[in-house]
Amino acid sequence: MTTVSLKTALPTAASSGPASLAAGSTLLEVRAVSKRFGPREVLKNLSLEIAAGEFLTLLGESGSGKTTLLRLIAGFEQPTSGEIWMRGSRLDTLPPYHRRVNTVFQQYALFPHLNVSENVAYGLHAANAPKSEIPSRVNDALAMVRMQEFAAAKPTKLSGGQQQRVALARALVNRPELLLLDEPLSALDANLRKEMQSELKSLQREVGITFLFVTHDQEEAMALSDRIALLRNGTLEQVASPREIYGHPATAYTAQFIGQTNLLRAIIRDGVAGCGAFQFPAALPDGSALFSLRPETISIANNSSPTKPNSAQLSSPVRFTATIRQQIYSGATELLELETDSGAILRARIPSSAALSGTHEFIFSADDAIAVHD
Amino acid sequence: MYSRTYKLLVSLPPILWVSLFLLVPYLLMFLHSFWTVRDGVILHQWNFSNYALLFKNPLYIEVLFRTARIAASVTLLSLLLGYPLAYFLSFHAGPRKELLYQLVIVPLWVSYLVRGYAWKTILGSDGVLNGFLQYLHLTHGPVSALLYSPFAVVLMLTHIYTPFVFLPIYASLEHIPRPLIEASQDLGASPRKTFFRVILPLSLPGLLAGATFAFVLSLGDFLAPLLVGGPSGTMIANLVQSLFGAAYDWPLGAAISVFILIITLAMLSLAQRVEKRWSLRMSATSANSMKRSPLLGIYAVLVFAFIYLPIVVLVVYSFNRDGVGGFPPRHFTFDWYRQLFADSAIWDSVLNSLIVAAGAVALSLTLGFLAALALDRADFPGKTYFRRLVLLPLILPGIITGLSLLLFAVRIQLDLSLVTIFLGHGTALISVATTEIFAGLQKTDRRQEEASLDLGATPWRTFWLVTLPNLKLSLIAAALLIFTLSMDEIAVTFFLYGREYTLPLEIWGRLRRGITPEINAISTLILLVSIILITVWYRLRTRSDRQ
Repeated sequence: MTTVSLKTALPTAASSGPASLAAGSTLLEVRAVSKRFGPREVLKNLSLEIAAGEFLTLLGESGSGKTTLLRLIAGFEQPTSGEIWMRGSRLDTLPPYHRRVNTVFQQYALFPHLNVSENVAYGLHAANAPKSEIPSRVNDALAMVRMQEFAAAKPTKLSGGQQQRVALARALVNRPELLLLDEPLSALDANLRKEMQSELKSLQREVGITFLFVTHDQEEAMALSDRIALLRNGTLEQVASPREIYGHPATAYTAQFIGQTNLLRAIIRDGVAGCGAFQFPAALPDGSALFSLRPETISIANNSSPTKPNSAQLSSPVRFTATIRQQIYSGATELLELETDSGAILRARIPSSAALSGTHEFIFSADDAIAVHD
Repeated sequence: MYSRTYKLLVSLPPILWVSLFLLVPYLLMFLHSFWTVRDGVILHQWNFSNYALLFKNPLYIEVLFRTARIAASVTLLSLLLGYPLAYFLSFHAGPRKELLYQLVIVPLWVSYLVRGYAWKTILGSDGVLNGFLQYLHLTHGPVSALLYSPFAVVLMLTHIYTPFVFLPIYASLEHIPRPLIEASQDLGASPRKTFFRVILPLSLPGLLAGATFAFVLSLGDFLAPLLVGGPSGTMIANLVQSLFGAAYDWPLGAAISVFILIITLAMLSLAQRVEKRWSLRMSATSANSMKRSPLLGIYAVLVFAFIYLPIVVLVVYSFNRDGVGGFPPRHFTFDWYRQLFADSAIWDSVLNSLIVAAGAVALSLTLGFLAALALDRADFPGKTYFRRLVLLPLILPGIITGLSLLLFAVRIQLDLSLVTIFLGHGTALISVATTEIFAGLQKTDRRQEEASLDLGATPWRTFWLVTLPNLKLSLIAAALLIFTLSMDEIAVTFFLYGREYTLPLEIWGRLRRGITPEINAISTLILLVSIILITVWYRLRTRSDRQ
């Protein structure tokens, strides 16, 4: 019987040291940056490293400071304190037009008085690129996003998805070292959004440019990113790969923000966590602790269930009985709302079966109970 | 959702009124231009000789060219002052933006006559500027070349039209989405390039609108030349005015009026067309040599000084014992105000103005309200023409509307009196009422009216209980504006008065006789009242915007 390995399950909150960095050299370093707008401190002493070639997502609720961080890196705002470095030189002292950083704006911000190819050529003209080079580079950029046939169209004549592609081409044609994307998909409808997500992902692999992507949509972040940086009230809650951040959330906030979870408040005594209706082994010092238990890790300990994990296969299984209060069907799976004997409410996600009711025995593995910070 | 009766009720009265009191007068003016006068009698003999004369007489040609030159100078100068000011306010004024904006628009509505008079007191040979120059020992005797010259006309008109030019430019700058400017910088364009490739092209419609207004309104101005122009500053509208007056050749005057009218309309439609063209095609690779001045803030302060200094001078000298002129003002006194309050002629004219303004508000508000409703919710043949006709007095030089109404009054044998002035104001200001109330209507939610009908209220009750209360603020704001404009009106009034004067006419009459500090005193009071009314109007308007 093994217990939860707490050394790995409990990374320190807001860690962003080189250890958690994806492979590759460091492209951008945000060093202890703070930003206030009047009395409001939007970013608080925030540090973050971005590796060359990675797809990093800034995830957070509105007001968490993710867009502000993006604007600091783009150069539209100045940090109140702290520094930003790119490839070994200061970035935050440069005006936006001298940074090798380009942005895809939330509402695209295409110039309405210029047509598609003029929009794409804008940055090349600004950089005084050789005149002979410009048409072919514009054409290549438009080809990359499959918008060649719209070269002469005005942006106002394009659909949202098409404007999105032009905005991407306009930014990428300048071959920036870092591409900032400020909720670029938020203005698109659901289907188009899914399509653009996969396009974005493959485009990023193709061009090999580092992407810093801002979103408040956790599913989008999970689908696209190499790493996710979760922001909360101007500080980093956790920076990790999607699998790591979902499987081993460092804090209760992370566990709740990314996916659904059950938060269990437990009292530890002699390596055992007591949680009312059940208890399970936990190698933690005596005292109070908080655990995150994903709904899909709980299953019905009933032999008739077709996909139920055999209790023998579970390491350190924990059993409890509970009454099903509600059953919410959602296609392949369904969510059960359970009330344990001690009155605690738990949610379990199980493969869809017939309608259930009454009291059942449930089971989960103690390994899946992840200790989290408050 | 609106019944036939409703549509008929709202559209018929304004259509009939505007046809009778605007369309017919303008047509009369047009007809007169093809007639002739012999021995003081107008003969209905159709010919083009009036137009031929306009282009043959070397005096007229000279005046035409001078007018074009003055109007072009005023346009250029107003742009040079107005554009940087608008740019500064829109991009660099920070939290003081709203206050500064109000500071610019207040003078826009402050009496034309008062501002013109201020320049007269400044530029005259005994004026404030001459006093100032001698005080600094820059000159020894008075420089008389300042007043009564085309230069003085340009200066005065520039002063009046700079806020006019500022407004549309500021509006177009404010409408530029800020992410576009960030996008430009993000793509590597310096502030200078960003200005020439993004900000300037996107503000061109506003710039064009402002320039057109300044040009067209200067073109038809006749009061500035009379006030500060002297013989060498005569403009084309002065010819019209003298032909309708002492020279008594109405047909020739009408021909010149029609000529001004055609140029005005041509300019306006040209501007509209160019604006459309521009928004379609704008070169992305224009060379640029101008630099954004780091002294923009100082420049803005200077423009504000230019706008406000004449007004300040006017107010200061109303308290100067030694009269208007000389520098510095030395002895403080209330004497001029005392004299003013004892001056019964002035107060009679104030009473006349109040009567006319009250009548004009009632008339133009009623018809403007109906016209706005008609434009918003009824469809009838010629609707676009109706809208253009209603708005015409707003964009045409006052002299054309004034003279057309004069021709009409003479034709129907209506004696000139306060009644004709009231009819003129009331009809011309329907344009203002319609624009203001139409803007208010566009902001109201029509579903509220649908809800009222759905809940069983009759259209009539819905109108009283929902439509009217929703427009309350717009109506009050429009009333205030019309009142202010009517109290101050002179260009139209000039041709419609009988024996009784309005306040601007009274002041005008005295100006012709010479300047006295008493006029400074009454101007200061007018200024005070208009600033109060305009501030209230602006507050109401922004409040209705927010609702």
